[in-house]
Amino acid sequence: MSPQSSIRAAGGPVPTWEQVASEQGAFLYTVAYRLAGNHADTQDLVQEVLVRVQRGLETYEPGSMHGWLSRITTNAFLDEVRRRRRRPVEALSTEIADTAPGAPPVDEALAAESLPDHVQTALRSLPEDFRVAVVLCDVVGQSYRDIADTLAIPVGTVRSRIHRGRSMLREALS
Amino acid sequence: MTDVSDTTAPFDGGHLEESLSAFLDGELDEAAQRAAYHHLAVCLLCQGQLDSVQRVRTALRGAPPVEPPGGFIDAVVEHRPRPRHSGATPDPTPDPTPDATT
Repeated sequence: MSPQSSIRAAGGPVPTWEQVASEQGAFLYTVAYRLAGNHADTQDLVQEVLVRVQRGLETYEPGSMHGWLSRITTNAFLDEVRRRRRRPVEALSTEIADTAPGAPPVDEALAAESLPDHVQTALRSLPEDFRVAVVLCDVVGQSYRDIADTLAIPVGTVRSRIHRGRSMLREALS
Repeated sequence: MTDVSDTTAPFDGGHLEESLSAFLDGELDEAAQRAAYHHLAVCLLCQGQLDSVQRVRTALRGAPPVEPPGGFIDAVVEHRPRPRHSGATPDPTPDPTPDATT
């Protein structure tokens, strides 16, 4: 057993990095996929999140593991969005989704089974700020208060982004 | 992208508009939730919007997890990732709040 798995005075056991990767991998992958919209970007994002988990576990105090991971994942996603904006040659899949909404790549077939393809495509076309709010609400299941904390924005903004995000998505279902 | 409306006016008894999602999520306060319920009972416009937003919400919430491709997680565990680039947002402070979503 790693020393990290010892019981800390403040709370329950702190998981090891390997435990987080193995036990939370499917959760992380789902959240990352709903944000990134394709498997290649999702896998990069999950790896980046796990790098941050490695550093973050040193100070992690047992609490909401999903809340903690969701915060790291959205930060990593939005950092990558900003990084690519600074280097526009690396076109975001989210940006080309608008102009090239044709058949999904072969590796998207799996996800198409999970969420109606037109909804996943619409999700990918949402502006990132709206997409993140909708994913935290409807995929992670966070309360508006928790989303406001995660994104460091007012609850009123969370409420607005969730509703406007869903309103944009409903076009895909109409 | 920045949000043009940084705050949303609390529900005032008229059409629900941006309070519609908050109503569905049970995120309005008790009085507003009740007022919204009564408004919905008589407003076809808001009922129609409620139905369409609810379909989106149900589709998202009902979708099963996305399965990682076989072996991906094992491979990540086997080859611990290293930082790819610098300039990232610092690690968030750990969230001590108990998980209220389960």
